Amino acid sequence: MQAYPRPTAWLVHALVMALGILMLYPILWLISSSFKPDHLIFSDLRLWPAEITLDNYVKGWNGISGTSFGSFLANSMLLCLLAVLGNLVSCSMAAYAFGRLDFSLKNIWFGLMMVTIMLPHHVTIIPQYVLFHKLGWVDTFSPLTVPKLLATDAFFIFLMVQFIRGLPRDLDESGRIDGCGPIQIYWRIVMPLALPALITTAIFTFIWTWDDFFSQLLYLNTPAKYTVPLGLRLFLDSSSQSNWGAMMAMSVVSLIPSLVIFFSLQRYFVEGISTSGIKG
Amino acid sequence: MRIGRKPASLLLISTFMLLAACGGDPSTGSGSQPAAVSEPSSTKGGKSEGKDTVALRIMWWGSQARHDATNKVIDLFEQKNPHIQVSAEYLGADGYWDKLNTLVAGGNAPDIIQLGNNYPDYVSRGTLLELDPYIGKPIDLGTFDEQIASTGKLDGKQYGVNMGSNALSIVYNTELIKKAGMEPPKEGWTWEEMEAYSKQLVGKLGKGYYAFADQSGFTHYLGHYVRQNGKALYNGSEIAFDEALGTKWFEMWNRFRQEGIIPTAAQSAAYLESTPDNSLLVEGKLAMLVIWSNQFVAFQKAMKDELQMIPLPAGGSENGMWIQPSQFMTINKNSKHPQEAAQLLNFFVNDPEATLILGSDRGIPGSTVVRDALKANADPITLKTYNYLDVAVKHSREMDREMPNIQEWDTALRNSAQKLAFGKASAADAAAETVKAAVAAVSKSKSKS
Amino acid sequence: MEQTVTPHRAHSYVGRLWKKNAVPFLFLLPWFLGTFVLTLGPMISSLYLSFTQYDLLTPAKWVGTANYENMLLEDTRYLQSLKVTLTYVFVSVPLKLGFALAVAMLLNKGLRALHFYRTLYYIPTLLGGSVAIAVLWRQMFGADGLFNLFLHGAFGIEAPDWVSDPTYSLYSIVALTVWQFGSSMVIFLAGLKQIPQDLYEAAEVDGAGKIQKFFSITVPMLSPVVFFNLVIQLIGSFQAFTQAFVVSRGTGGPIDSTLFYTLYLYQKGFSHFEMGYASAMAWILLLLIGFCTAILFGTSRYWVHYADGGKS
Repeated sequence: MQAYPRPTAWLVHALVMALGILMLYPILWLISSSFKPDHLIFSDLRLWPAEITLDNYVKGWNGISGTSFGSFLANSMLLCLLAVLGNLVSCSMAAYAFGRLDFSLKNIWFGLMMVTIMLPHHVTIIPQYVLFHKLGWVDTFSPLTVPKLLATDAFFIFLMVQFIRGLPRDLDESGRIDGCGPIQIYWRIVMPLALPALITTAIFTFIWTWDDFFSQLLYLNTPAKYTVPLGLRLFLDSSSQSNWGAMMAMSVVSLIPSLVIFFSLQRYFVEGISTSGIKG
Repeated sequence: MRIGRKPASLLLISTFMLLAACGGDPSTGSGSQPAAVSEPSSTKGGKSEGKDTVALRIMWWGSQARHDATNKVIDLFEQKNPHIQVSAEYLGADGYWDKLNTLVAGGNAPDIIQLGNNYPDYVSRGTLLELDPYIGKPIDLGTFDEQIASTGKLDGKQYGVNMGSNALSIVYNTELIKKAGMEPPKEGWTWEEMEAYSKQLVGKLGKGYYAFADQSGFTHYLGHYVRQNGKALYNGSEIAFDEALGTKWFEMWNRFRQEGIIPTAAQSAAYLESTPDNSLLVEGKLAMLVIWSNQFVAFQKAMKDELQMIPLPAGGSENGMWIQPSQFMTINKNSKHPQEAAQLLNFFVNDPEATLILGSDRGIPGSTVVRDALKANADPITLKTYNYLDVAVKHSREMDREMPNIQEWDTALRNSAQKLAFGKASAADAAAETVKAAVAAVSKSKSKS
Repeated sequence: MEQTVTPHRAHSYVGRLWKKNAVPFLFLLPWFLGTFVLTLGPMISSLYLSFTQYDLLTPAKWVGTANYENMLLEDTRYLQSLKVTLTYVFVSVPLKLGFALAVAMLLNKGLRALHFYRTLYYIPTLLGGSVAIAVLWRQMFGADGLFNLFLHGAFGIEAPDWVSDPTYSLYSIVALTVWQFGSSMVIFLAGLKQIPQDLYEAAEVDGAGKIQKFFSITVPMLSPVVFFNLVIQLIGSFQAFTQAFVVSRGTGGPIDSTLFYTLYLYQKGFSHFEMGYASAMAWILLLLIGFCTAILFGTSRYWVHYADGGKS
């Protein structure tokens, strides 16, 4: 599809810009708050603060009790990379089976997979904790990463199934004629074509793991292993004093990796790059 | 961290192996039971000769200042007791109870647990160790005010060591009152005086300003009112207030709302006034607010105008206020090392160096010796909370036991108060609902035990 | 499925099973392990717990169907949470998906600047469950918030407090949900990306117009992804938790007007020490979601077009 004609392009720009301001406001507010001294954050709501300070960044970066915020960032980064890797490998394998292969009781397995998404996770927290505790995994990254390697994020399986089923089967046929088995078809044909779905999975896994407060709270006990969501909450305490400034400042810092990941991967969504080779 | 250094190129297989290694590592492992790790005495030096190293786990919630201070004290404790290793698990108040309950349910609770006034919920469910065998030695409560030491007692047995006390207070914004050209409110004023003062204040400040917040749904404020009338929210075995009194309470708030001295229903629902980040007081629209005295520093630091504290309004036949422990340290019933855990508790409340580091972040300490030492070193803002507590004592009488399942009742009371505010229930309806919910919360704990 | 398979047994029943399933099951191995070891155990536990009184701290006590009876017959807050959630599902799902699809179509071009906008539009989603959202939302939709300033300035309307008036508070959370449309947008973008360009070129050759191309190519080719978003949004909205939790500070207020199903479930399980009851709530929700999802899957054969030629 070609780019918009000129007058339409202007209109589109005007529209997306107006929407953009609405989208931008929260981050502007966050950034502005992060430069305010504590006594102005909630009492002076203007975007341009009356007083500006860098203190929040310094205090925030120094972290808590000798654990610097850099340590939280490093832990989160490692955790997210493992999670992304796990989800990409395991979910794409399961999705390929569900989307392309034929096997016994397929509908039942698929139904089971859908059911696992439907139960609110709050009620499985405790049995799951007991399980991971018995496995000796508490206070390690295992409860947060091994499940990803074992395709427990059924959301992504379903996502990839839908994408894979959107690919014409003739492609597999032509692969089969060239002597490819199911494994080669998975690796050489289906995966490259399902790239948008893989990218989507990578982005979401990264961002959701990056933001996941509750399970990281449950499974990580030692502050040296704490991640960004836990680190941010350490600045706050509703029952006594909160260091809101430091929290806002480090929130700004911790948005950067997600933004970079998103910005650098989203260009794969632009239409018209790798369509060659697909015969509709 | 070990995992980070491995090459990522081995992808799947290596990741599996790494994770397995990660899970199996005894040092980072579950830490399920604080096992005594036998260590040759030669590695530790002469001091710990003949003693095994004891590993303790402690969990608390709090602010950055509290984390920093408590960690320092733990380091100090470890220096003085080389055979004890303490691993600290600390977090903000967000999620603390969820995590604690999960750990207890999963059989992985730490040895030492910080709790609030809800500790009876944990006693009745058999989570906590009875501390009486450890009182005297190593836990010395000799310098504690008797009233304060006994706050950790339930049915005659000690379960918690008081880490600090607080009381309800009215804080007021001195600048707003100056702006209105009025005298500051006075200690010992009555509800009627407060109402008259507020009407005048609002009249002078004009539109958009309010005298105080709608806190008709604040459990302990209602508790104060109920106690002034010689009753109690909960007397230790059952609900000890009735619909008639509840109706009077809600009718009073309805009148305040009609007089325009408290914010509208919607504003009150938006600003819960529980913390500085959702407070009209902090935004400078409100002259007075009821808070816990240990929140004073936080509210003051969130705004520029100077705040002052006075006791809650007087009235009725008795003193309504009470001094209460803001936090307890308790020991898990399943702790393998109660002796050492008790030692650490004692260190928190009695060691001169440790108490100086901890300060009054958890409330004003129970030991008179510690209190005097801290007061001499307090900064001007903190000093106000010390002085306030001395005033508050004069308006207080012994506290009642906290209602079981109080969180559940909190929600019910807030809902009833909001229904009233939005005109969806009469004062009598709201009171009836409130009493019914209280009875339900209490009876639930009875059916269980 | 063991190693008993030899050529001469290849036609036996076991042999046929092995031949049919060996490779697919190899692909499914991680999923099988995860499901049977990590997921199903805790799920079954929670089913058991739903028939008990379980306060987290002491062992569970069997009470039969008492939790279910209590919930469906007596608990008015439960019925309120159900009402809130159903309203939310039926209002927010179409709005969010419609908005996400419209924006995705708009941004699905090679224009350079659009990279920037795509990221910009994702920012609200990134801030998702941040603690700061509560404060922010009050600033945007509170009585003196930006939205009302705009209404007042542009139209002279005196608008209510959208966040904390119980009549509107649920809709302010719907607005928050729609505002965080980024994830659905990304999935639509990925789906649009997958549509082969030559289809459009072929249609142009045939003289098809824009609208014609949209309905004859984009709609059917995108239908698997639309279906995905619909199913996932439906499930996700039934389970919606974070927005209401953050905006109402865990209360579901004012007056339970934003008491989402899972928020109430969470209050019951973790604040009120009634995990048995919470588990029963969870299983009723699972049935409800399962029913709605099954209906969607049932309709999919009429409107979802799979390029692999199969039916769902």
